[in-house]
Amino acid sequence: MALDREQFYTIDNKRMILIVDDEQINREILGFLLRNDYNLIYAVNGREALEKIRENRKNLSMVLMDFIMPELTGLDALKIINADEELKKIPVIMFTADAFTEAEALSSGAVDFISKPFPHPDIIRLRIKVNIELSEGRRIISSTETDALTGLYNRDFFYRYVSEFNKFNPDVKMDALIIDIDHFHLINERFGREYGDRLLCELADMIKEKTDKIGGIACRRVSDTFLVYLKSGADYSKFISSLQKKLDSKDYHVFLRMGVYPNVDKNDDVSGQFTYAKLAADSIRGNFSKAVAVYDNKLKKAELFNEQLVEDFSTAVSEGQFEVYYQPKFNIQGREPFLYSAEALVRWIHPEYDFISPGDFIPLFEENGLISQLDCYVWDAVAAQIAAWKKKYGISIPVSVNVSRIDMLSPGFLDAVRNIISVYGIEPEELILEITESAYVKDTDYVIQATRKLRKMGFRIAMDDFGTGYSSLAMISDLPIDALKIDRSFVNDAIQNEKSRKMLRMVMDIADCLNTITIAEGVENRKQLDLLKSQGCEIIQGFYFSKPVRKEEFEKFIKERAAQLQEESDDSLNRSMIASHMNSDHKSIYHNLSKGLSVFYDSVYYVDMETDNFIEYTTDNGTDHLRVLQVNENFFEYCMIKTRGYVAEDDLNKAMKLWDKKYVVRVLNKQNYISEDYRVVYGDKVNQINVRIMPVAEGNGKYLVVTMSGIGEKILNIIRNELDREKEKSMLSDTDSVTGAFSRLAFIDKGNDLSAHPCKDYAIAYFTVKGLNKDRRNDELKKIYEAIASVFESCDIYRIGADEFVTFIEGKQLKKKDEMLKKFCRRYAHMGDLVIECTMAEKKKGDSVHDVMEKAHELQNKNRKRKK
Amino acid sequence: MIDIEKLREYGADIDHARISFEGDDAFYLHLIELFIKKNDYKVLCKMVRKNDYRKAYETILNMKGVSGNLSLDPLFRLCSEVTEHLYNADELDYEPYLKQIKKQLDLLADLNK
Repeated sequence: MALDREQFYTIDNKRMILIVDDEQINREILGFLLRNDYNLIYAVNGREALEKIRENRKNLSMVLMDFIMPELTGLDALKIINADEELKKIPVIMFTADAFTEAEALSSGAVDFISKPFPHPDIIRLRIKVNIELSEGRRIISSTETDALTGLYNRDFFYRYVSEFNKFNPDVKMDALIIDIDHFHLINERFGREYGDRLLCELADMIKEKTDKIGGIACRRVSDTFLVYLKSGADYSKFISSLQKKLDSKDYHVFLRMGVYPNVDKNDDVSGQFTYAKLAADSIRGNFSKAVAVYDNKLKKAELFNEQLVEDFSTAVSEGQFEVYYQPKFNIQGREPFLYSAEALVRWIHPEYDFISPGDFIPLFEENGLISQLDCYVWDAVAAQIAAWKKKYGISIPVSVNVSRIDMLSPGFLDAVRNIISVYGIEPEELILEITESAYVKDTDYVIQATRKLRKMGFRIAMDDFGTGYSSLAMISDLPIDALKIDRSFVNDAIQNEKSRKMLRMVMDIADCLNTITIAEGVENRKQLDLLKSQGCEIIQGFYFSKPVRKEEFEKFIKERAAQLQEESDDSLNRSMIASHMNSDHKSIYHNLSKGLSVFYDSVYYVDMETDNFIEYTTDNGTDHLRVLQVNENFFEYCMIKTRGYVAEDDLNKAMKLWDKKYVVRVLNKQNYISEDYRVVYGDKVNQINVRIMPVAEGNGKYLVVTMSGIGEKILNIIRNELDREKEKSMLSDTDSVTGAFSRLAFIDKGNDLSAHPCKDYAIAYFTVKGLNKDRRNDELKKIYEAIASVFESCDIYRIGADEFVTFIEGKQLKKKDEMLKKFCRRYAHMGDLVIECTMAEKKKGDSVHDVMEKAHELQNKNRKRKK
Repeated sequence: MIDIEKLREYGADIDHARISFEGDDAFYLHLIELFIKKNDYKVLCKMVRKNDYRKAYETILNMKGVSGNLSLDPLFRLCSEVTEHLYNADELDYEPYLKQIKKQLDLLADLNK
């Protein structure tokens, strides 16, 4: 039994007594007799006595008070004391020389009466001592009946009372009610115990007032659980809503819930009756649209199962019945999907029920707070697994784990995750934290603050179930997240209808705005994958790739990825090997060169002229991405053999000369590059091959870049006719050296960027220039660039050919595109002898950059035809 | 100066007083001095003469209690008798009682000289 520490207050182990008498002699006598045993305070009349009592109400053990006094008599003061719930706990002994007043004093609430003249001092002291002890004893007994915090009956007394009531009123129909507060433990954690206690006291007073009115009794069973027993027939919706309204009006933002067991079976014990009411209340946990639930048999069965799960939880943790499964997530934006990460999903292998679906226990544990323990268990297991896989395969596979709202609100959460990564020696970015959208919605500020801290610590945050939590757009724009995880419902619906596809596109656009990657879950078939890919979704999770699997099975995905990475790392290795031979300028030139050339050539060779070792790159993986095809030696011999087998007879000498090392060195000493064509024959097809050989950097003949292309006459003509040295330089840089516009290379980058964001809208203005004067060409091009820039403000301008410019009109500028086009044509269609043609095409659904360019180009052709 | 022997001669129950004050004569004498200085007699006379028996009763009741507590038996006995009458609001001639009380108080005051 908990005792109130202040209940039996003492100073220096002495209790405090107030002596009240208007007669100084009597005060001194009593003071003299009691001075050694008690701390004494004095008052000279009833009014002063009340002041002193109120002042010392927590500390006073007794009041000794004269009956007749001026201002306020002892009797009147006694009546006031007994009308006060708190003050009446202090025992009062009255004294007077009037024997007739004894009965009146006792009936007014005095615990004893001492006559004057005073009896023997020992008798006075004994009567005081006994009465103090009796009073304290009564309070102890009383505290076993009532709840110390709220003053309502406690559970034991309440049960006894209800039991007795049932015994003597077997025919009266009664209802058992349970009232509790949703997630009360979080209120205590967040706002402190004092706040929580205040809330409970206020709620207790409201319940008492209500039940007193209806005719019932109430108790606090434990924590935030209140029991009410009352005659059947009350309107419980009104009951709970009136309590809720009162709490709301006092600014307690909590949600009350009530379970009702109507017309109780009095054969059940009292505890059982309220268990049914509790089952009903628990059935609406988390359902904020319903505050009252009435018990029925279906509930009984379901909740008994849940109770069993809760009971079994500790054993399940200690015996390792919870097993972590891993579902792979694949990046689909490359040529081939590759393993990006995994999601950890917990499964319960129960000894009695075998495989229990997470849907059966996760919501349950979320409700009762056990989810925090389970999550910690999973995080720990996952961190250990990441570390183990890293050690075994030498690669890091990030794994995402679920973080519930309850975890986020837990004060020790940040330390817990920090501790876990430190224990297993993994990096924070390897443990991705998935937080549901609803968590952000319910405790926005707190959760955002916590996620900011997590990101600062290095963790990556994914918003789970995006699209289901009713986030506001304003809130979303502030979210500190790294990935949006699109709920499976979007994926399913998007296949079915256009409206959902639009919704999906909007979600992708939101992700784009937030600069986060998108992860789609629940992808089950190729159709869904293709749709998501076309919409720009980067990461896919779902049965299409794999269901969640045991860790052993998941390792096959890691092995595949490890092999891929090995290949890529060879590539990087070779690049770095090559790069190590160059100074920083040359590195940059090489980077640009290989990138630029890759647009036009099928293969690029990097050749060490001292050793003849070479690396062959291929561009078949996309224009912006060279892939290492082979690392080999004896470059010139290799090419000679390879060419000899296919070269057309007429071109044999020309080709063989090209693969003569001495010839190459000699020519490159005189000129900057070698460009040569020869034909090759594959069966009955003849193809023109262009070979270009150049040093990686001007003046550095130690390393060569050799490119070969068989893509056709068109490109070859471009190279032959247009790639003078200046133009080539321009091509390999982001900036055009003549005009200051962005280069063709930058244009390619821009095209790639837009391809990765297919939802982005834009228009392309395409300019061609006619009448350039050979001598003033550069100046004229510069003027044209400035003219374009003056009209297409804030738009990036690219020089993509000798006499071609392009600009992308995006964002807010898009609205003004037609206006800008007209303005340009009006002002700059003719600049002296120069004629500038400008056409514009807007990107439509599904268009690539190439398509839009084609449209703009086509428009110019049409214009020309029309003019002719 | 008043002392125990003088009080005994006056009729105070010194043995009882010593029990009540646990042998602390000095404290007892201090209380006697306080009592002598009190002037409740005048209040009593005034109330009796106004026939305000309720107030008179309260005053004599206090005098009775204090004299009893101080073991001043002659005064205590007298006060007890008057208290009874005033409690019952007996219509008496209280002057003789008042004189007797005055006499007792004077005797006590004389002890202090």
